[in-house]
Order: sequence, then C-alpha cells, then structure tokens
Amino acid sequence: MVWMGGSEEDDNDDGFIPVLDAAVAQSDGNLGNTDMANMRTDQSAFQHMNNPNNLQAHGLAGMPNLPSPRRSAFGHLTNKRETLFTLGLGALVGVGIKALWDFRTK
Amino acid sequence: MNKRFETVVEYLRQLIEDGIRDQFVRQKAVEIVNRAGVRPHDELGEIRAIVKWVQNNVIYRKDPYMVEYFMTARRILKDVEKGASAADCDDFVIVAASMLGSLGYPVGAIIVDSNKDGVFNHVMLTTKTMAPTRQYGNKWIVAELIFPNFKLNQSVPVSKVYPLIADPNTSRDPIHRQQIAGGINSLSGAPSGGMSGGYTHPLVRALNGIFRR
Repeated sequence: MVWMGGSEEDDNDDGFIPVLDAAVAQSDGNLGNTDMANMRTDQSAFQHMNNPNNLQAHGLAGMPNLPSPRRSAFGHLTNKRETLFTLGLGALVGVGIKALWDFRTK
Repeated sequence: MNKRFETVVEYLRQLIEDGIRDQFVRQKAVEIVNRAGVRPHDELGEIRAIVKWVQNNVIYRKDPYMVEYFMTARRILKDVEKGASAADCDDFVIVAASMLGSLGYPVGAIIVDSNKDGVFNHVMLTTKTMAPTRQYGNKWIVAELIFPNFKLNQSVPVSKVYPLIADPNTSRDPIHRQQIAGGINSLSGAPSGGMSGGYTHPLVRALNGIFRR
C-alpha cells in the first residue's frame, strides 16, 4: 500500500483511506448513486423465457434433453414390453430356422 | 425489430459461438469449476460456479457514449487476468455463455426490456441443464450477470424477452476475422476495406487477388 497521508501513521489504520467522512461512509459504501439493495426484482425474465408460446415462437420447444437417470437394481428389466417383444421375436426366428433346417435335412 | 438491433444481436450470437469453440475459454471454464470444487455431473453446480465467477470478477463499465463495443470472450478473460476488466451487459453474456457452452450446455442471450416499456435495452444469459433438475426441471435458466447479488432466475421486472440461442455448428469464419462494413473492425483492428465491404469469403478474396494481377 502507498500511504499518501502525514508522516505519523495511525496505529489502527488498516490501509483504508476514507474518501467521505466516517458517518457517510458507514451509511453508504458506494461512491456513486448505485443503490442495488433497493432494486425491485422478480422472476419475470425466467417466466417469459419459459412461456410455451415464446419457446414455440423461437423454435426452442423441442430442445433435446437426456432422460432422467433410472434408479433400478442392476439387471432389472425396466422396459418389460420391449424386452419381451425382442425375446419373442428371437424365439420365432430360432424356431423358424430350426423348422427350415428340419424340412431340408430330414 | 429494427435493422440495427438485428445486426447487433447477430454479432452477439456469433461472438458466443466463437467463444464456445475457443480452447482458451474452455480451459478457463474448467479451471473455474475445478477451483470451485464442483463435482463431476453436477450440472447446476457448474452453471452456478461460472455465473458467480463472472458476476464477481468481470467489472461492469459502460460502453463509450453512443458507441457499442463488443469483445471476444478470450479478450474479456484476458482483461480480467490483467486487472483491466471493463465490460457491459453484452460482454458479460458473451463470456459467461461462451464458458458454459464450452462446458457442454446449450446457451444463449436473452434481450429484455429492463424498463418494462417494451424497448429492448438489456441482455441476460440463458442456459439449461442437459438432465432435468429438481429445482428447475427442463426449464431454461436465466441469469442476471451484471449484479453480483442476483441469484439464478432473478431479474429486474421485464415485460418481454427475445432469446438468441447459440449454434456453434457453423462453418463461417470467426467474427474477429470477418470484415465489418462501415469502418474499422474494432475486434481485430483490421481495416474494413471500405463502406461497401462487408464479409468476403476467403475463396472470393483469393480469386480477386488472382484477377487483380
């Protein structure tokens, strides 16, 4: 820190050089007129952004998302209908091939 | 929407897209989330870390009077490192969106009317997680970057928004290599080549050079 005050330094000095007098400095830490604490806020931007009409208008309605993680035991068949369909199709093909083999060889 | 506004927002979108593909920007983003101790797969944690870093480290200064300044994300980050940060709302969005985009999130800028009078005059960040979160589901998250005390989705009251979502899958030249009609390209310092210049494709430039001989 560069001290530009008098030659005798205050023992309690922490390096802060006050610009305003102490009372004003304590009441308002800003040098200018920015008063962010009193700014009115809400979630209107978030709501407008996620409004279905807005998303539709800007082509954002169909943005891809990853499916939410499935919490199931390892090996558990979650897609039962699809799995059974695949197994059934496999069995039919197998039986068909066997029938064809039998027909040609026996 | 007037022509000038369209041009301005297009530069904004292109600067974000360029930043997303910039390795320097990605390195900085990775450094920030790692230092913040964000665990892998914590998408909301990464978004919060980047937003907080930008809110706390990039310093808001207005553009010169009646002049619209745009900076690349890399330039903004280097200014922060040098202790010479000075950026306005669009620059805040460029750097935050570029970093989040480089970490794998869909990003964009949303233009808003911060006086709630229907006149677009301010820019905020928008992004979303890839997997739905308990807090926000699949919704787009918005962030006010120029005030450090604003939390995610908090904004000044607005009456309309205009989203510009970045699409980095583009084969165009980075904007700092393009020539912008009507003066000096403030991003690169290169002369624009005249009032009617505009962007010239490299192939056309090469052919012009051959025919000039």
